[in-house]
Amino acid sequence: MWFLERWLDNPATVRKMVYLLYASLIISCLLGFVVQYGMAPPEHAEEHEGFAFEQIPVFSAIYGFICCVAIIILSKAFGHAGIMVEEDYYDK
Amino acid sequence: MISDITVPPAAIFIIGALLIPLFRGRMKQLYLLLIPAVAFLDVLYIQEGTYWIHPFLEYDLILGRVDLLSKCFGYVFTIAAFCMTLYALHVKETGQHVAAFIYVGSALGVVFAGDLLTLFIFWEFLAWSSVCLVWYRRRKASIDAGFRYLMVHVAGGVILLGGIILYMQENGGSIAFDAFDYGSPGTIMILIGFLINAAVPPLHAWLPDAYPEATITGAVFMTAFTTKTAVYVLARGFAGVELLMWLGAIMALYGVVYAVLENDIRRLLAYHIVSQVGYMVCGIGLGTAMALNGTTAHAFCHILYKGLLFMGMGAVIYMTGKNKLTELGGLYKVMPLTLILYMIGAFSISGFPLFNGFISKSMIIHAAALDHNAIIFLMLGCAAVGTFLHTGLKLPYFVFFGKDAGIKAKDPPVNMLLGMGAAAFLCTLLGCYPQILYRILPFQSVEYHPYAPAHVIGTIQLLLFTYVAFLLLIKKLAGEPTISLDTDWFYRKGGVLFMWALHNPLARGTQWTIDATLAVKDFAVWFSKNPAEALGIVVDKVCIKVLRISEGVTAGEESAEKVLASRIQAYPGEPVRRDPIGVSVLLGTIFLFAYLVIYVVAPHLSVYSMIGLLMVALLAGIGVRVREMMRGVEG
Repeated sequence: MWFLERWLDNPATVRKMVYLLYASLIISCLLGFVVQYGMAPPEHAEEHEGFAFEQIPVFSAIYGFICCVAIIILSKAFGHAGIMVEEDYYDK
Repeated sequence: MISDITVPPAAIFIIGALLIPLFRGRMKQLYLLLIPAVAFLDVLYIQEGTYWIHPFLEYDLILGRVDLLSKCFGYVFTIAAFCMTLYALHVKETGQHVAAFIYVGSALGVVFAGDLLTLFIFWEFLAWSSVCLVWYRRRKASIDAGFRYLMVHVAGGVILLGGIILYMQENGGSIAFDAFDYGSPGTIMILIGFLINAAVPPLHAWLPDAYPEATITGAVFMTAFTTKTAVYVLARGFAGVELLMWLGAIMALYGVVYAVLENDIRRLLAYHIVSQVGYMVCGIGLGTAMALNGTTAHAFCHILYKGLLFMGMGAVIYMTGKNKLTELGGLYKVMPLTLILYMIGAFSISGFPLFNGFISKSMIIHAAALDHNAIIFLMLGCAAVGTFLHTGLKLPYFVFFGKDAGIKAKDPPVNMLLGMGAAAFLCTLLGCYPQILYRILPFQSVEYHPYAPAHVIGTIQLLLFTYVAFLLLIKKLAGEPTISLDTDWFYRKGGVLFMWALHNPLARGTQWTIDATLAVKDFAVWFSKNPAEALGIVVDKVCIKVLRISEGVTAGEESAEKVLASRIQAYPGEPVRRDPIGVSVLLGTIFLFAYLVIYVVAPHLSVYSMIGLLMVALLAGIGVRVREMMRGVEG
C-alpha cells in the first residue's frame, strides 16, 4: 500500500500528525471539562455517585499518564533485578 | 420441534474432525469451513433446557445444559472457530486440523456439560488435543514446552478429579454442576483445577511458556478456548467468591508487568491473555449481575480480538521467520494490510471507543464502581493503560515502525488475511452496535450504556495520555534480548534438580545394591563348587595378609602366595577329597566332641563369652596356619 509509505516517510506529514496529537490532547481535556461541568448527567447514567477522585478535573488523563510512566519504570526495575536473564538460561 | 434436529455442538466438531482425512484439496477446505458454520447454526437453534442425557454407571451424563450463559460461550466459540479455520485454511497437514477441531469440540463440550463427570471428560480432551497444536511445530523447544504444558494440565486434571470425587462424597453422590458452596475441601480442589486452566498466577506459567511455541495457526486456536472455558466454569461455579476478585485484579497487572519485559512478540501477547483473563476472573469475583454480564461480554470480545492479534503476529512470524522485537522493525512498508488488521485488534483490546473492548471491559470496571470498590477500579484502570501501552503502542511500533530491519516480506496469503478480516469486522461491529452482544448476555435485567459522554471522554483521555508517556519513554521500552523468569522456573529448574537426583544419588544407590547382591550371589556360587577348598583359600588369603602385616614381605609369604595363586587357578579342582577313612572318622569325632562341648557348656556362658571363645578359636586357627606357612619356607 504505497500511500502508507509515502505518508509516513514524509517529514511534513509526520509533523502534521504530531500537531494533530497535541490538538487532540487539548480537545480531549477541554471536552472533559465540558462534560464534567457543562452538561446535565444523562438519564440512564451512573446509578452510583462516582468516587471522590473522579471529581478531579481531567482525572483520567492524569491517571493514564502516571500509570504508564509507573508501569514502564517499575516493571523495568523489577526485570533488571534478576528476572530478565540470558536467552539460553534454561539450556545451561 | 426445531430442537429435535439439533445435536450436541461438541459432537459436530469431534465427529467432524474424524472425517477430515476423507477430503482432499478444495473439498477439504470447504468441509473445514462448513463444520463451524453448521455448529454455529446448531447453537443458534438449541432451545434453553437440558438435553442429551446418557446414563453411565449410576449417573446421568448431561451433554446439553443450555441456558443464556452456555449459549453465549457457544456462539463465540463457533464464530471464533470459523475465523480461525479460515486463517488456517492453507495448512496442508490434516492432523493439525483434526487436533484443532477436537480441541474446539471439547471446549464446547465443557461449556454445555451439565454435570461434573462430563465436564471432566471434556476437560481432559481439551488438554490432550491442544498439546498436539504445540507439538506440530516440531521444534525441540516446542516439544519441550508441550511436555511442560501437558504436565501442568494433567496435574490440574487430577486435582479437578480429586475435587469432584470429594465433592460427590460431601454431597451424597451428586455430580451436579451448579454454583458451588465454596469452602469445603472438594470445592477448593475443584477451584484450583479451574484456576490452573484460567492461568491465574502463580499457576499461569504454562500459558506464556507454551503458546508462543505452538504452530502459527495452532496458537491462534489456543488463545480462545482453554482459558475461556475456565472462565465459563468459574462463572458458573464460583461467582461471587471474593478471593477471585483480588486474584483477577492482581492477574490483570501481573500480565502487564511481564509484557514490559518480553522480547518474543507472541509471548508478549500471551502475557496479555493473562492480563485480560484477569478482568474476567475479577468480574466473577465481584459476582453481581453487571459483573457477570461484563465477564461474559469480555470473554466474547476477548476471543475475537486476541485471536486477531495472534493472527497478526503469527502472520509476521510466518512471513519473516522472526519472532523477536530486537530482530523486527519497519514492516509497515511490506505488510501494510497486516498492520491495519492488527491495529484493529490492538484498538479493541485497548478499549478504544467504537471497538469491542470498550463495550465489554468497561462493564467490569463499571461493576467495580457500582460495588464502591475503589482499589479494584483503579487496578483495572491501570491494567487498561498497560494493555494499550504494549499491544497498541510498543508492539506495533517496534514491529511495524521503529528501526527498519530491512526485512523482505509481503502480506500473508489471502485466507490468512480473510480470517483476520472476519475477526476485525466482528470487533468493530460489536464496538459500534453493542446491543447485538448485550442482547445475548446471561442477565437481561441489567442495562449498561457504554457510550455515556463522560465515559467516552474519560477513556480517550486515559489512552491519549498513555500515548504521551509512551512517546516520552520510548527509549526505555525497546526490546532486550532476554527471557524473563516466571513461576515456571520452579518446575523447570526443579525438574533439572529432580533428574539430577534420579541420575546420581538414587541411580547410584540402586546400582550399588544390585552390585552387592550380585557379588554375594557370585561368592555363594563360587563357594558351593568346592566348599572345603574354598574355605582353605579364604583362610589362606587372610593368613597371608596377617603374615604380611606382622613380618613384612618375606620369602615365606611370597611362596605361600604362589601356592595360593595355583590353588585359585585350579579351583574348584576335584570337589571330592580322597582322604583315608581314618581322617573322616577323626573329623567326625572332633565335630561330635565340639557339639558336646557347646551343648553342655554354652547354656552356662553369656553371648559375649561365646563370641569371645569363637574369636579365640579363629585367631588360634589363623596363627597355626601362619606358622605353617613360615615353616614351609624354612623347610
